[in-house]
Amino acid sequence: MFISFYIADTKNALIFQYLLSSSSPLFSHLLTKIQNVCPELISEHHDEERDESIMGQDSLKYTSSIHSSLGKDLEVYKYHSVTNNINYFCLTSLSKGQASIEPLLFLENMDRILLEYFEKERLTVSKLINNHDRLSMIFYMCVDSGEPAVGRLHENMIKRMVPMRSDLSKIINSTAHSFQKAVRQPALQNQRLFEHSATKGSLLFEQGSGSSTNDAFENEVVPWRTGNLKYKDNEIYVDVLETMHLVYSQRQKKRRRSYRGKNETGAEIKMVCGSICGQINFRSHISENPTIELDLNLAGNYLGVPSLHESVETSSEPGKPVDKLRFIPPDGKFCLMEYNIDLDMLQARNAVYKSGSIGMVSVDFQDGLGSKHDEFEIIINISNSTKVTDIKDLRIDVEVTPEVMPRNNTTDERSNKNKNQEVDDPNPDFSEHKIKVLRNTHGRFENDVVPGKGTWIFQKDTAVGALPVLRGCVENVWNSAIYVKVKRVSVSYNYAGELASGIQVNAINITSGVRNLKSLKLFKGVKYTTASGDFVIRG
Amino acid sequence: MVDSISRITSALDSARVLTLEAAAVVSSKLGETSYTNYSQGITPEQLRTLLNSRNSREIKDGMRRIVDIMSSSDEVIDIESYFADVVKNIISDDVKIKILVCIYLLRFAEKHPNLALLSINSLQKTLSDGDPDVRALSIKALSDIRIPSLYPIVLHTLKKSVTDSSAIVRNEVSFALLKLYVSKNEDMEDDIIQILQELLADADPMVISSAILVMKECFPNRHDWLHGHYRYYCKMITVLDPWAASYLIDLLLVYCKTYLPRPIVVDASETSDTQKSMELPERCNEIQFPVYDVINDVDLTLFLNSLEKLTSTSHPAIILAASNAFFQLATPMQFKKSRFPEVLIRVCALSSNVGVLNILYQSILLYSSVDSTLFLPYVKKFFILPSNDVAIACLKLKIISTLVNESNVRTIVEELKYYVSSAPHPDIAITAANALATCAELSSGWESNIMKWFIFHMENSKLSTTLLSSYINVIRVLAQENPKRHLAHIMKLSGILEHRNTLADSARAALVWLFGELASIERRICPDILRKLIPTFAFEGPETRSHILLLAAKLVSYSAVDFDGPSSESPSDLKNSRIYEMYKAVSYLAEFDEDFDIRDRARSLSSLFDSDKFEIAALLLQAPKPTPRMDTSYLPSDKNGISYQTNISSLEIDKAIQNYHRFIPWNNGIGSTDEDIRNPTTLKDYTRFKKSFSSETYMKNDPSRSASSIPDSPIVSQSSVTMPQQKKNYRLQSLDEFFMDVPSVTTRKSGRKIVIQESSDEGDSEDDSDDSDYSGDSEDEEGSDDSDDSNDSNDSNDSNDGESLENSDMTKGSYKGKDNNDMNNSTGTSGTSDNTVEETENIHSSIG
Repeated sequence: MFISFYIADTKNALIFQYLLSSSSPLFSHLLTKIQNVCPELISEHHDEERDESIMGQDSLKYTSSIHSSLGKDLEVYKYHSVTNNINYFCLTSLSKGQASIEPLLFLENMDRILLEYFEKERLTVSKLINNHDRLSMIFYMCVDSGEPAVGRLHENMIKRMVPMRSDLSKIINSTAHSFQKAVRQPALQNQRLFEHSATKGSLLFEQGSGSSTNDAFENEVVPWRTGNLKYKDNEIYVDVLETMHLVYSQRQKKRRRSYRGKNETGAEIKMVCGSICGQINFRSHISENPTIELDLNLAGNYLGVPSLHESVETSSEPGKPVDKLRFIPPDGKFCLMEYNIDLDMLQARNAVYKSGSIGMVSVDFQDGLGSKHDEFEIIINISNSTKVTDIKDLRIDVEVTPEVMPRNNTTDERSNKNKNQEVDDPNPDFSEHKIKVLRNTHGRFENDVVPGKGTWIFQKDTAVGALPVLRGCVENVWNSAIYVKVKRVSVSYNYAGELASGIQVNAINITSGVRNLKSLKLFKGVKYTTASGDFVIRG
Repeated sequence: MVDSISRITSALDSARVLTLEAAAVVSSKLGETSYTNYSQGITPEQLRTLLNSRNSREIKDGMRRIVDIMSSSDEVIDIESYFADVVKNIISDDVKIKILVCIYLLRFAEKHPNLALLSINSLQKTLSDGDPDVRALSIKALSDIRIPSLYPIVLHTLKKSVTDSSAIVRNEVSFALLKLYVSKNEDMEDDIIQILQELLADADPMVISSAILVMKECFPNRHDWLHGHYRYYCKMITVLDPWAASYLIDLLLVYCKTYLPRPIVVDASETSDTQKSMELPERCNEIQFPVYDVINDVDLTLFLNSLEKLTSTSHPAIILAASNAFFQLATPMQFKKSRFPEVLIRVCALSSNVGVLNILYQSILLYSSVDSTLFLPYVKKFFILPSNDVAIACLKLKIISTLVNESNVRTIVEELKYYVSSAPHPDIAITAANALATCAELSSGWESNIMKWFIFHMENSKLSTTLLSSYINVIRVLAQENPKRHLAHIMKLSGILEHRNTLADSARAALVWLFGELASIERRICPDILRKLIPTFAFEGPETRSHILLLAAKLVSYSAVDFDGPSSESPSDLKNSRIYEMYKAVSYLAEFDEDFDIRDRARSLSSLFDSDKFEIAALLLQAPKPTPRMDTSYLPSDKNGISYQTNISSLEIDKAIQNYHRFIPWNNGIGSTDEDIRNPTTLKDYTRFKKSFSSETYMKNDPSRSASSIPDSPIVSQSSVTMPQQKKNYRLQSLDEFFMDVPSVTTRKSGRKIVIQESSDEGDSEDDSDDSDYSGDSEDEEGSDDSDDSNDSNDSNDSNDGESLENSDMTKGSYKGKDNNDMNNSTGTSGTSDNTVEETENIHSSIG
């Protein structure tokens, strides 16, 4: 049973609190209590700070950053919203035999509800502070008698009870704006624009949140959609976002034998594990109660069991690929489908990814180059595409370690000498070293505070088809023969226009539920984005 | 002419400037931040004026300020002192003000019970409002006020509202019940149960959802209530609210265990004559047949099939609940076929909520430790990604170690070695090392491979103390099981001890200790090691010194057994032996140690040996030590009668999750009765009144989803009182005909209808008395008040929903399309006053 909710920023300053009774503690009181009982919950970097003394005690320690017991029958949970960079806390009394998944899920759910309610990409602290009244009302609607208000958590119901900041203000705002614009125009055009802004105002009126009359609820066809909406401009936007999680490894033996250039075939790079997480977001403003059919071209991918929004009709045959979705959409934005393509499954890889590279950027590297074997080279290969113009925010993180020359690479004499050295000083002190760039074609290189780590940062946009190269070495201050080994290269980038899996939207159609379907003016838009998640190549 | 034109131009110009300014002012006024600034500047006196204003805009400003203070840590103004000023605004027509007042009441009503009662009257009045949202809000606000004297009134309200035409109101009734139950007033429990059972029998998914929540919270053990609803709920589970669906699965799971016969597992590998069969065992890995069929009860199959339809949900709680249901009710084969393992993997891959992931992975670990085949195809999904949280990474590793088998061991070992050598966090490396130890158990080839690798790794990299000791632990486990085979590797360890002087003190100590332990198994190499250690004794760290002393003592004690043994030579021979001499040397050195503990230990050991008490020394030094338990040493094949719970506990899964998955015993005492206890009961369906263009077209399009079409399913229609028939009858019949058709309606039901009339009466009589206060605000309101007398039926028409039986003789067409307010209500009944009115009036007068 929930006792209270709090929203705080990452420095634990209160943004908003919603208390369910007069006995619920204020955030300041809770914070003091937490500091005494379970400081891990509010420390920002719990992982780094944790010292070795508490390691290996029990598994409960792992959850200390998200959940803690504050006393008998009192639990506190924390959820960190990555998109908004704020923390949600809730205080609950012990639930009966339930796994403690519920409070965490509920907080996550509230975060999503707030985002959808304010129709924002991310919520700022000032937005939340300015809307304390609305937040209170939303929480009042979503929590009833200390439990999630089941059956009433749909976005449209919340919007009905907590109307968006009255549309009038938007109209006045936009009218005022067009006034300003109009007045700035030469006087002769004044009149015309005046008319224009007037019509725009009335248009906005109609565009408001549909009918706000009492029968809105009763005309409801499905619980997630308010009945009888009216829009002048009907729009559908489909955003498909794919995130790639790929781990590759370069085989050591082969690499050391190989000479520069041989790696470019990519034959020695082996995928350790990989998956593509996809998300189809749907945003629509359509009159009445349309049934929409979304036709997907899966490009031979096996999507497993994707999660679908509750509005989507589930197919009768469980094993059938999900390539046609039929649904009555909620008004506004929602996540239609989430899928996970398993690239480890043999069938999946054979079918689609024969070429070997997933995504548009592939990376090769070699180490132990140069006469002293202390240089390394990273080669990025950006493939060409007609749909993608450039790669955005490309960043390459490099981690190298200098090693004492491996024995098999040197003469017998050397190896003997090394062996003797090892007894006295097995490793020279490698705690201080820096990467030095010898040559690079694109962007700039920054050394990290951690020795041996650095980032190769590109311009915001990198043209497709480019072949950037970075050659660097480790500043050798030890005067002993070292071998520079690239331990790890991780890549991050994103681009719009194409999906890594090749999935495409074939068609979006309204099949029924709208009168005058033919005469309906409908704008449809599809956007594809691919981003890299965990993209690592191990040395 | 020119002059006039220029004048006009200049006039236009100044007009332009003016307009620009006005536009700027307007747009700035509307900004949220500027409003907040204005709001925060309100002084306490101003606030009181605003709250008492007649202008709803000003009241709103005041309320917003109040709520703003409530939800921030701002303590400038003591908002509790405004209680009366705030609460009187409950009569406002503006829904927003009303909700804000309700939020205030929820928080402070308890502290000011007398003042809070001020609001009761107007809240009760709105209970018969035309808008279902307002009615629901009133119920919510009323039940939120935690004042014991108010509970009977709330209960009375609920009794009436439970038959409200709108699902949203009935949904709210459930929550109010929950609040009443929490108040622990035992007199009301019977009434609460009665109302709850009506809600459970509702046809609307929204109402069932909330009723299930109440049942889970208040009566989690009354599974017998589910008899009549079992089949309907199974059908409905996909359209319920996700939260409710997860609660329902938990409830139905216990129900199945209690009231359904245990499934029979039949060996399918044999021919039909000799088929063996057994009851579904408690743990699904106890099925002995390689191939089997399962014979389920029809109702159990129904439940499991309906769960399979939930695979496409995105709600982790449902997935967890459904997985648990399959885990407990079905065989691994069925679990796999349901695709829930795949769904669990998908949720884990897509979710970013660390807490949820933690619970999901722990559950997977638990399932996988019982039957590893469930997640075997997804082993690579448990490889650690760089962005994984430490806790998640460790759980993944533990799962991997349950999945190791001959075919995947190569990949797994390679991967684990990578984690051990380059994990960013020591916890991960330690868990990975333990997982490697599990891999080594697979075959002797892998055992020596892994052992070799560990020792090589120890030789070549700098390791922290914790890591090193965990390595030594792993090595010790591996060595202890079959020391003969690993002699070569152990020799290598001695090499490390000899050459790596830079090794940390604790690590060296651990190695010395390890040899001391090995002495019981393989003694030959130990004296030599001791001999090499003595010269450098003074340069060792304190821990190592202490362990060298122990090693020496152990060796003496072991050789004492030899001397005591068959040849039974005198102790003096022992004291002349090389080993004893070495011990003497060590103990001599130790007696001058700077550490008093070592000095003390050396003396106590010497006194033991000097007085020839070798038995005591043996007891002390040769005590058998248990093999260190790896975290993942639990293997499903363990059949030594160790209970499941203790095995699971070695996995270090959270208590809450263990409890959640705790095995619920099957009820073996189900008597077979001829009567079908799960015969569906009559549904209370209010949707039959619903008739609008859109809903009809929708139902036509999609019969699978609408609530009313679900009872068409074969199982429900078996019963004599099926809903669709009722629906048809109901529409076509007149009121009299309807009453002739008695059997389909219980008498209690009609009794309830009378209550509705009362409710309308109550609302009306109050309306009459208080009208003059507020109803002048809007014309519409007045209109509805005028047509009064039977407002309740008016309400139901507003919402295109029938409610009372009286309405039923009007055909739908007659009132559809008419405006709400010009309805002619022929069915009004002038009511007699009833208790509630008296009660509320009492309160009213008590407030004065």
